[in-house]
Amino acid sequence: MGLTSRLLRVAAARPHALIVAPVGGTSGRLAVEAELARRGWPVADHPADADLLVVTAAPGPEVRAVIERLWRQIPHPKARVEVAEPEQASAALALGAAHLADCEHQLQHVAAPAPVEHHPTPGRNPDHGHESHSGDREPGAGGGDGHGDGHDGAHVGATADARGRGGPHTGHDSGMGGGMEMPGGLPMADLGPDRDGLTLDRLHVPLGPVLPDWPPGLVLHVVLQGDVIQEVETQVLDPGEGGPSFWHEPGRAAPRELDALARFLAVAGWYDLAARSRRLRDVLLTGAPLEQVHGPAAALVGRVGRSRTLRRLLRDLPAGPGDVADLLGFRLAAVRAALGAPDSPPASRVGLDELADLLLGAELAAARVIVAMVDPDTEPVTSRPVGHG
Amino acid sequence: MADAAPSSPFAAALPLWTVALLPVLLGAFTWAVVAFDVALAGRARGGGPSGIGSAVVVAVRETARLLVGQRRATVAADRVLWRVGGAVLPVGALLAAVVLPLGERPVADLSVGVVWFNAMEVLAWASVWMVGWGANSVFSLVGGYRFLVQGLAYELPHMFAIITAALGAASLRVTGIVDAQQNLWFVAIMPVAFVVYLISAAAMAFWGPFDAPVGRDLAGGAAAELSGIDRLVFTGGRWLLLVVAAAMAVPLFLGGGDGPWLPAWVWVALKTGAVLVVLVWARRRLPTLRMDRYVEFAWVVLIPLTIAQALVVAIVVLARGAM
Repeated sequence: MGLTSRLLRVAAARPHALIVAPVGGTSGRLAVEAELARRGWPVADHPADADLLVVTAAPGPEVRAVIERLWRQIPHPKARVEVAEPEQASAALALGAAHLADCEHQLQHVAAPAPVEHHPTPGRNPDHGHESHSGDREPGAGGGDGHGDGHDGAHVGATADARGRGGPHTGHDSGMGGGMEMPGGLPMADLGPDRDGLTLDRLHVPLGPVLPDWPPGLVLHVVLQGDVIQEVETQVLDPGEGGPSFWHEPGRAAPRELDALARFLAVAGWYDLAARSRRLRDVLLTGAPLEQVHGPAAALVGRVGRSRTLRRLLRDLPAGPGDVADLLGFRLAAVRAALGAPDSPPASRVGLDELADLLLGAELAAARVIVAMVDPDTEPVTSRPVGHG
Repeated sequence: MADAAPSSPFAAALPLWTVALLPVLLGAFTWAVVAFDVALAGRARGGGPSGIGSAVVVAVRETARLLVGQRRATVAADRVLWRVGGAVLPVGALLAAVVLPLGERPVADLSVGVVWFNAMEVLAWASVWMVGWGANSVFSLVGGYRFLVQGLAYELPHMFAIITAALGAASLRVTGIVDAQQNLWFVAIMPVAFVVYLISAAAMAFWGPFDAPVGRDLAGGAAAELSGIDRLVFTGGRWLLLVVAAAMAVPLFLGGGDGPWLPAWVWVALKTGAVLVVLVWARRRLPTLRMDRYVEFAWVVLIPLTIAQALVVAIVVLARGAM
């Protein structure tokens, strides 16, 4: 036990944090990201790599279900904290790290025997049963679709979509799995014609709401063949939470655009420039005048715009009427405009319907870039009655 | 040349106990590279603890974290493929490293050393795909297949590049290739092959900008469901593979242990370190390359270039032989 507790203490000095930013959690997310950067703690891409689950607002009922599922997916040792107010970020992270370092706490509170869950395959850790590449998988970091429990649902083959879309168990009708015992109790994928005239498996996969650099609360229910998106349905979890968007306060156009740019750069795998964009955003949010960051921010935008590699990667990737390189042009123009006129209202965003149109026929990698690039508004734009769940 | 080399595969090799030394040496190198990468990341972030000390400790903290971490299981996972796949990565890297001259002599001086290295390094294909498939999860699976596509893109130019070095020395024995560079390092007469080798070294270790198989857009890709010791083995193996691939550039193109004043092993270490610095630095300069775009560049530009390079080297070798 001495060795374990010592290892726990060594490891807890640099935990990996998985951030869950629901609708209304943007200010909390920004505070947590800034605090993580200050401490030098990495942001986890997915639950398997996380120690610390950080929720950046009081979650509504749909997000709460996702959080419970994520919590079960995170390997021990683990800790969860909620940052209801941005000012609490530092204290909350410190508390989480203290819980991680505390061997007694881990044994008694976190690893305490959970209620036994039924699982068709014996000897498997019930904390993690949720995946299926052939069925309605709840992606590791993708959380789920916010209804039912993907954990239970995935393996009993009953993840019937709450909105009546055919689940993967329709595969039973295709004659592939009728009456047979499926591995792990998972249903088979159904078949459908694809763009090349072949008949391929159709996978129903929810993207979001917890993916790295993903809009708050957004879930895309996609039907994949290979990694090509054939159908998209959009959903926002707990859309009414948290009042008007943090970004729609006056004077926040520039940090918002820098935040969107950072998320696009991170999805594109340009981590250094993403970090730089975040740093400039944080400087602005601490109240520094725009002049202070104007030079470096303009240099950053210029560098991204001049990158021939990036342009070659994005050119001719279809996205609606144009290509993804066009979208990059709009994004960079929006950053420039926000830097030039600090008090201007934030650039308008595409709606979710329009986003779905852009994503049809895109490959998974392109879809991630497109979502990051258009940065859709999922938080309420105007003030509306706040309905806490 | 090949004829001058001893006929037994182990005649020019180091004593057998160095087999145990090899993982230690590579581990130390890996630790140093991780620290360097962490220091660069800290600088880019512009906050957090900085300095050599904290960067060196990060690898220790990460290892401790993954050692106490719980192993993850997923529904209907192919656990044999999944676990074996992760373990194949470090094992393949270590096996590839036995032909690396640590100074003047390698642990095993195989007469077909270059082929051996290539065969072991290709185990990474199997490894990443098995890890991606085994977890039975969408993002893992897509990540695994991304690496197969990546393999198709980088492997052909890579093989032309390393075979050009063998051609220049008229030997597949790694020590034979080093001996052939006593007057002139191969980087001088085959610069294209050298650059292509560096690119493919990054690609085979799915190191940025070739990190799409484990990319952030896939929430970790092939590695998305790994935790605890499995994650330690897989990511450790990836770092090892990067170090071994960088180290192989030294005997192939940079004259091995050739250099003034210092002993050969110091030169090998210094040159390996220099190649690693280039690879670690380069990943911060570029966004992740998507293979559907890169494969075009690799096949239309790099393959003809490397073939032309091999042709030039072949003519030089023939002309020398005729003299």
